[in-house]
Parts: sequence; C-alpha cells; structure tokens
Amino acid sequence: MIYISSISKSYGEKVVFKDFSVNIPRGKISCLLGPSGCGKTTLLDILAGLADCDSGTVSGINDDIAYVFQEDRLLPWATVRENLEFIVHNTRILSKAPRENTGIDSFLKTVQLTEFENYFPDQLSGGMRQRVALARAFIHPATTLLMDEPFKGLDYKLKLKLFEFLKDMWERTEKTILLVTHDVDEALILSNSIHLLSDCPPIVKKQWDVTISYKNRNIKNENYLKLRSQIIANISDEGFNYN
Amino acid sequence: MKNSLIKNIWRNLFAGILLTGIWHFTAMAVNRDLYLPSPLKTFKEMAILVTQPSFWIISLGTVMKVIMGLLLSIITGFIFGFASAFNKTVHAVLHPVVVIVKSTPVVSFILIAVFLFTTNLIPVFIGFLMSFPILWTSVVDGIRQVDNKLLEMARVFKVNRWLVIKKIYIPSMIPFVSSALKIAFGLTWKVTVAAEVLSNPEFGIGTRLINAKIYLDTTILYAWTGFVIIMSLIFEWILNLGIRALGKRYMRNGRLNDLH
Repeated sequence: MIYISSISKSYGEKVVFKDFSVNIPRGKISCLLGPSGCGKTTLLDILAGLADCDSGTVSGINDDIAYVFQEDRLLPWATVRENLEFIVHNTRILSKAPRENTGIDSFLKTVQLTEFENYFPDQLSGGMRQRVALARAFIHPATTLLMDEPFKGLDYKLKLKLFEFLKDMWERTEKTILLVTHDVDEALILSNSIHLLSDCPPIVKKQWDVTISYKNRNIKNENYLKLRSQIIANISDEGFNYN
Repeated sequence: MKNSLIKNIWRNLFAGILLTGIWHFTAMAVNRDLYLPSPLKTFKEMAILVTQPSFWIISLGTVMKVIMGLLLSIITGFIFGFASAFNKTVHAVLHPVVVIVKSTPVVSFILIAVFLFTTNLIPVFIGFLMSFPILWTSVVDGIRQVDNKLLEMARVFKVNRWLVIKKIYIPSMIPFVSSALKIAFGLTWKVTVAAEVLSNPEFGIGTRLINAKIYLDTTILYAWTGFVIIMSLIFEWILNLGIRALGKRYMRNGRLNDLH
C-alpha cells in the first residue's frame, strides 16, 4: 500500500490539498478520477519526490518510479530514439548490455513510431510526442508507474491499443500503476480501483473496486454500464464539469 | 538562390570599391602620408611585409597570445560559471569581481600588469581578463535558463549526472555560450594587441604598431592594422565553423540559427 495521510499543500494563497488522504494498493492499477486543475498533478509530483507537502505523510513508496508527465518533457534537441536512449543509457552503461537489448525497438513499435525514430520532437504532432513520453515511461524498469492524463490527444483506435498494452504489461509485471484522468471510460477500462475526487481542495468523494474482468469491460456489459452511470451520477452531484 | 548569391557578391564588391575610393580620394586631398596614407601605398606596404619572414613570427606571436588568453578564459569561465550557477556563495564572491573587471578601463589593467608579468604574459593576461566576464556570465545565464521540467524528468528516471550535463545542460547553454564566444573573441583580439602596444613583447603586432608610431611611419601602422583586421576575420570564420560543429554535435541541426 502507498499511504497518503492527511497531506496539505498550498502555493501562496491557493490551497491545493487540505487534509487529503488516500491509500493506493501496490501491484494494482488505481485511478484518481477528478476535474482538471485540481491538484492531481501536484499529488503525482509529491509521490515522485518532485514536490514536498506542507504537512502530512506519504509512505510505502520508494524512488523506483516511472512517470508520464502531463507535458511530454522530451529533449527538444534529441530525436525520438535519442530521447528514449537518454533514460536507458544509464542501465546500459551499468550492465554493459549491448545496445540492441535495450528494448527501444519493441517499445517504438508498441507506440507505432518506428518510422519516426529519427524525427525531432518539433516535427511530431502533440499526440506523437505523448506516445514517445509513454514509451519512455514503459521502458524504464520501475515498480511504480505514475501517469498524468497519459492518453490525452490520442485517437480512439490507438488509445484502445495502448490500453491493451498497459493491461498486458501490468499482468506481466504487476507494477503499481497510478493513473490520473478525468475520463470515466479510461478509468473503467483500466483500473482495479477508482477514487473519485471532489472539487478543490479535493477529498476522495467515493471509491469503487472494479471487479469486472478485463474482457467484459465494454458498453455491452451490464455491470460496466451500471458502474459507469453510478460514477457519472456521483460526478454530477459534485457539479464536476464532465465533458 | 544562385542568382541572389551573385547579386550579393556584386553588392559587396561595389561597397568595397566605393569605400576604397573614398579612402583614396580623401588621402589625395590630405596629401600627407603621416596623416592618411593612400590605400595603394598601404596595400604595397602589406605586400612587402608579407614577404618578410619576421612577419610570420610576429603574427604568430600575437595569434598565440590571443588563443592562450581565450582558452584560459573559456576553461576558467566554464569551471567558475558552473560553480557559480550551482553555489550561491561562489556566485556572491565572483559577481562583484566580474562587475569591477567589466567596468575598469582596459589600460588600467595593462598598466598594472606591466608591473606584475613578463612582457609576453601581459597580453595573455589582459585577453583572459577581458573575455572571462563575458564567458562566465554566459555560462551562468545558460545554466539558469535550463528547463527545470527536463531536469525533473531526468531526476525521476535517474539519469546519471554526466549524461544530464551532456544532454540537457550543454545543449541549453550553447546559444548563450556561442554568442559570448564570438563577442569574447573579437574583444580578446583587440585588447591583446593593445596590451602589446604597452608591454612591447619581442614578437607581437602591437610592438610593430608602437614602433611605427615612434618612427612616424603611418603607412606601416596602417599596413599592420590591415593585417590585424584580416587575421581577426579569418579567425572569426574558423570560430564560426567550430561553433557550428559544436551545434551539430550537441543540438539539432540548424536549431542554433533559430535561437539567435
């Protein structure tokens, strides 16, 4: 479990968290569902050790983390391949593994960017850059994967493929995956548990464990639809601007 | 493209002829070599100088001093620049030093250096002293401009420090450092010759300039000045090639130009 216990955080006048608590099970895919601009990114930054909280504690997390940031954060002067090499180099130098074994090729294939490996970030669309950022996080052999609205700007077909990939990777590695999103379907298709956040400063409004098997998570499934409408009903109660 | 290139050549040729013409007619009107030697006389004197073996030794003397001064300021500029960017105390100590050096007239330093160093070292020291603040400032500014989001990314993914310097710091600093290098180079060239004028090393263009002045031989003064300009242009060209190669190595092709 990752325990986040009554943390508070403000930036000047703006209170981002006040006494916020949530427990994230290890080895599962968990989702924080909530409106944009409400501290979710700050929470991931705190977990990644990039920000401190003013009070409260975070425990059960080591610094063995991969992170899909809200922005792509690619090196603008490096090609797609070089951007991936940048984070693999480390392990390669240490283990002296030959270059071909870094797995870059297979991850490029996963995010469908093989032909673009020699392109620079400014030659790619926003969605393509996001895919490079995804590949970078997938390549990094960490036990915890933090994802901040990772599928935004991607077309539906590719999104579904990446969902499959993510589920697959999780089943193989049992990573702890924490996904932050405002998309109900994304949360429902991927997560083992969903934490619905209220408006700012957020609290966990409601929490669901999703027990529907992965292959049945589609709009033809009754339970899926039931849970979906439950979540949406809870969101609208909150006045959460869902679109 | 080719057409515009030819047009450009013609335009530059025209400008050159016009300016030389103005020089020529002014010299004719003045009609005294002591005040203004004609371009023809100056070029003739330059041709004579080039054929003398001493010309090359003297020029090499100055060039070596410029290169040494510049190298010294690049090395120290980087070391102290990095130290100052990461350590506030180092910055607090160096900042006033740099401000003082920047605003002190160069001759004051030359006259002080005359007491402290041998004739050959004075121009090197002055060249270093004048270009160090420029390089130091560019390194400090360059490091401060590094995108913190990229550094955070490298931190999360545990990229080792050398790779972070090579792949994040250096590419971010190149636009700053390369324009500083160009300015520093031009300045070093000028102050090195100026320092030679006052320190009189055996082999140095500055020594020839002051001798020409003492013997009232303005034509030789002009001829040597002409060579200083030509050498400076050649070195600037080489420097630009070097900077471009550096840009290609660490940054995206052509990106360097976009940033200027």
